[in-house]
Amino acid sequence: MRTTIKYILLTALRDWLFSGLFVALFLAYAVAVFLGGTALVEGEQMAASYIAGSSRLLLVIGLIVFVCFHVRRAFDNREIEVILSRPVSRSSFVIAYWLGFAVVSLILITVLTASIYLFLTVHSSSSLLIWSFSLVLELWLVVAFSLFASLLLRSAVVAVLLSFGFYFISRMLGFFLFVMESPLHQRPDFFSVVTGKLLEAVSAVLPRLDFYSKSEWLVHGVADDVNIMFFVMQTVIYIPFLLWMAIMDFKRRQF
Amino acid sequence: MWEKITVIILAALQVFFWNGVRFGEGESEVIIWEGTRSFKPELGIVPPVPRPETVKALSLGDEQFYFRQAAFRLQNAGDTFGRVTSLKNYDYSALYQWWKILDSLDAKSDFTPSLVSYYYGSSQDAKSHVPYVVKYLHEHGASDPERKWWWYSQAVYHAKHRLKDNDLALEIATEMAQKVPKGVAPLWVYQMPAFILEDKGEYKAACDIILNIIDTYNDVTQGEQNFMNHFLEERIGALVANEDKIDKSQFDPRCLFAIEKHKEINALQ
Repeated sequence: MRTTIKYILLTALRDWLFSGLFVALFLAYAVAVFLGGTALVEGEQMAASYIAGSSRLLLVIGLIVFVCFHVRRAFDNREIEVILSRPVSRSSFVIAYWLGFAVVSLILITVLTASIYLFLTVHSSSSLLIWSFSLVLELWLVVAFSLFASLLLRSAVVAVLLSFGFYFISRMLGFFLFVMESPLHQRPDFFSVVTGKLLEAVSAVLPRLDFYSKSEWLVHGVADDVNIMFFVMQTVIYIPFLLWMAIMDFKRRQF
Repeated sequence: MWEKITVIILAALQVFFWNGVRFGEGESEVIIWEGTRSFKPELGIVPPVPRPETVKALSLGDEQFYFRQAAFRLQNAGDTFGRVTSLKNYDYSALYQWWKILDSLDAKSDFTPSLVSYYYGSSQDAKSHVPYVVKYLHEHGASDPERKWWWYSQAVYHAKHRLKDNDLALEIATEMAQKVPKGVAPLWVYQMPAFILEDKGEYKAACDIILNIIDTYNDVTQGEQNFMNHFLEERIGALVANEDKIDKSQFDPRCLFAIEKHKEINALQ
């Protein structure tokens, strides 16, 4: 397992993932600080909010693309077959792969959190820690889905698009629930009923990613413990669920 | 050979597409093709106001991030791409809706009221625009009087000095003095109705408010006590100066005593 994790880290270095994402994060950081400096008031809060929101998007996009193309290339180059020729079970292979990507996410977020702590003013160190912890869990969940999609699908592009779809729909689930309860969508016509049921089904199956890493925590602090429990419980349920599905599918695959 | 001619023809068509094809001038001008060069992006002043559902969708669960983007956009509205737009040309009805949307995203932040009071409140067209500013600041202050009393007082300031509407200013100031919990704001917040009443010539009511503050607020700092003394001296000086116009029959005896003392001191000096 340790060898597989090391292999993932090496491939992340080989694919310029760290340098590419660090450069992108540095640029986002510089733009956030510049824009914060031009704000009429609350410049520090504006910079913190910008860096929190933009870095989250950069990391999610970067990791989805990396995971999907990495797994696909490993299939095409027969690297996976080489790994499986050793005494490694398929379930430990999937878990080790996910752990490797999880370590990559952790390294990226540690550097980001340290830079925010050192150079920006946030509400409190504890709110920064909670935000970082939440972002770690969000990335682990996204990585688990990307791994599942790339093991399931034969095209890396489709896996990337599916992962983006999963991420953005999961982030919009709060909006879907808001729309479902809006009086405008309580009409009894066929279309409203069908879309309402569809949205209800989607919101039941997908995780609520809108509970994760809110930049508000860096500006005003975390309001109560309920917020934390929501995203922790969501992660505890959903990551094993995704990994289990990935293992089930991978076990049936013929090489 | 034909390949080159085809490329040249397509390039020429592209230039015509860009420039347009027209003959003649003035009324006899015949336009065959308008040309894309004349179509420029329309740069509005105030961005279109989104619906609450749209705001929820666009924020992707991170409302603070969307709030900061929208607030920044509103701060620079009308002054982008090298343009500078006079505040009298802004649509304040749309701006008011934007301010309310920003408050629905983050009511704790002081960014929006600061922008409204210190920037949008300086419109050259005070009569049409400042009522929106006063309405917003009043609502923002009333949403959390304990923390937002400053914006309440800004609503009073804009109503009194920009709109010159003493009745509205008095209404907001009285509400503020009642709603802001005792001790969380400086004394002038509670004295503000007295300032306005005095301006309106209602000296008795102004005197009553000051006496009420003296009775109620015993635990005040030396700085605030000095300010109150200065304020009372000024008010009583104004009462003495306008003594012949004032009906003193309804005045509190303590206020009358202060007037007499003030006169005695003046006579001695």
